[in-house]
Amino acid sequence: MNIQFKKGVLELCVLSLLAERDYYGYEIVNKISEEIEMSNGTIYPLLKRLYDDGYFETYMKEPIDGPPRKYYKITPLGIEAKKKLEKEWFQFVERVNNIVKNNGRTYEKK
Amino acid sequence: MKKSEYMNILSRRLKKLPKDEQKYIIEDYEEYFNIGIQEGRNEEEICEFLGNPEVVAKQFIADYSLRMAEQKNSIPNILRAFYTVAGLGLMSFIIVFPTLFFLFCILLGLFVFSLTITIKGMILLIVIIISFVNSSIAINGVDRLREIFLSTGLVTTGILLFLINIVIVKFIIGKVVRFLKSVAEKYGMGGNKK
Repeated sequence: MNIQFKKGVLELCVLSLLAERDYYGYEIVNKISEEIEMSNGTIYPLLKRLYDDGYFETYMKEPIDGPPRKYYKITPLGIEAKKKLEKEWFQFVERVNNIVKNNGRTYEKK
Repeated sequence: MKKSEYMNILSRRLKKLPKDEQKYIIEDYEEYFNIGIQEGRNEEEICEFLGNPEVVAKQFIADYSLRMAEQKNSIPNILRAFYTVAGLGLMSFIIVFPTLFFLFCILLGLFVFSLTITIKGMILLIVIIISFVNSSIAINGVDRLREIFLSTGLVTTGILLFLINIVIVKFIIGKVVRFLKSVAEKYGMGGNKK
């Protein structure tokens, strides 16, 4: 997959998850890596980059059992970035669909 | 590899970073291990998933130095960013490095040249001023006028070249930082999952 493209997609995935609710690191890392293939050991650096870009904040919260966990919470800046990426993504999918569907239906053309 | 060994290597390799950066990263990895173990995953498998700690640390350090270079375009910051990103072991540097070196030499040459002619012009001006004051040094009118033109011309050209040089350097630095950033990010997206 195109690398620049993949980067945008990963960002969109992380931001979309966080737009829904707050996540702690373990959860979000597993969710992303289940769906999207990455080199080993690159998901945390990616999260850190997004954090440094100001797309989310962190806070500590103690679960009922076990040690406190670091939660990620999206910021207004992150929501803005998510909206932009989302729009680009849907535009892209629509364009691809147009081509793919038309191609499949060429025989139906009048 | 066990958790303790993994965390040891990681924290040792991250020593170059400021304390709060280290803390942030270590916390994340510590937490990942703790929850993973709690859920019954074995330590070796988690280490494998998290990736080689030395490589992980390099990535964090490269990202950090890039951020610093972006915030402040100082020469040490740029060099550090360059060095750490190159440390990720990427082929593109084989082409980029000589190119940058070549550019650097040209710009340095231009810098020295502009400085030289500025100084030369200034010395000439001073000489002319002295000759005005001290009329014992005889320079006839036409020559004096020519000298004044020459010296002011030299000074202005020198300053102009110097300013152009600064603009070029700023432009190149911006490009270099952008390039380094894209390289460092691509590195993390390789997708060669084991």
